[in-house]
Amino acid sequence: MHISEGVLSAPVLISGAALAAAGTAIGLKRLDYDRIAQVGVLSSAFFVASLIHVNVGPASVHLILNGIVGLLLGWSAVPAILVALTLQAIFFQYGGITVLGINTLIMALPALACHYLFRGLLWRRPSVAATASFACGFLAVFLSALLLGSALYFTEKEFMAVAALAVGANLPVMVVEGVITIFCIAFLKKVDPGLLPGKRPAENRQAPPAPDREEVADAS
Amino acid sequence: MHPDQIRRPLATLMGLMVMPAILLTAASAWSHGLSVFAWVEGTQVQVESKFSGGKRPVNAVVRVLDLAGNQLLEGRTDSQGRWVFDLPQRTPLRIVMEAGLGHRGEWLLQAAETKAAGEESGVTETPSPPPATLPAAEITTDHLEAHLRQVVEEALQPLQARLARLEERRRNPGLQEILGGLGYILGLVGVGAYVQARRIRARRTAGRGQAP
Repeated sequence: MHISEGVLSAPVLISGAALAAAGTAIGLKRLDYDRIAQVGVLSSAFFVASLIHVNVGPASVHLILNGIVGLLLGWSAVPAILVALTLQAIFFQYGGITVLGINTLIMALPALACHYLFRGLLWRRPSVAATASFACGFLAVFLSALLLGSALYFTEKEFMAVAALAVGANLPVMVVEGVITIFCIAFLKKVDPGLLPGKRPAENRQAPPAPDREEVADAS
Repeated sequence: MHPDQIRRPLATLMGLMVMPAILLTAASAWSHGLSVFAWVEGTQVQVESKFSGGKRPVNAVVRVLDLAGNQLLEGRTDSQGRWVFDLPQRTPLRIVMEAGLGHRGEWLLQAAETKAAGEESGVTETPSPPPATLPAAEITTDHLEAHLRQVVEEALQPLQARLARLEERRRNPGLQEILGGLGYILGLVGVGAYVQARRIRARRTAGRGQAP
């Protein structure tokens, strides 16, 4: 999903860089300093995820995890993704420094979209929450593939073919990320619901005393 | 701060850190990033390419350019990610491969490599593999040179292949690169925490200043 150095024309690169810079500025401004560690961890996860290879068909595709990063971080996902992409460009030679802006946009815009689309659904009925989680992981990669197609449109002059190719190649990734997102959200709900966006329903808020009582019972 | 509030994020951090690691070990291959490698063999240039996942780019466009950027040749890789072309000129050459969806790789053939091959193509008027039964009197320096070149090339072939493998390994990210990247992120988190600590301290001292 990374665009390499030297593929895109200067106007595309410059506008990509400008938009990514604006997004990063907003992300940093909105960054709650108590959540820096969380942003770092998700940035790390995003950084490493690109090494996880989904081996289907002739294409070379890897996990992206922009759905869950966006869902949990909102606007802070933009700097998190920018940092991870910079390090991927330096350490793994994925993408490149001049294409950093456009690559950030390709992955961060769907992340933001997923945040606003799905954050309200996480605390609904379990079936709804699970569906929303899957859709979040799936849709983020799907939208990234579409953005990749539109970025390449300016050089290849063919949107439908390129976008169809990108979506097709990443279809297994979408499914895998959807499933991963379901598990991550379910895991976080149990371990640390405070990390998830959206309002918890009242009955859940009263629940925490119960585990404490169990702990006391265990100790005695 | 309630102890639970500290313990919970810690557990979450651990979980999130461990999850990619588990997935990583389960993954059989690495992916992405296109590496191109080319070398001169006789008067031909061999081009090899690979995604860092190990897949070979099939039917990818390869363009041969001079250093000024003029396109000299164009071709496509076979099912093994290879392409062979006749050396068009003795100058250094840039070999650019485009494997679709924004994947692009490059290799520069140095002047020294292409020059040596160019010289050889200059002496092609003489029979290139000199017959072994040639009478001793008829062995000219040209014959000898062509023969020597062939022998040396054969001897160098394993070395070339080894170089290609080394080059591939250099481009594939390993543990060092992963840990390096994670270290940088950790460092940035540290910087963020430092800024936060300073803010809190500034707020506290400001509060104390106003109190009396």
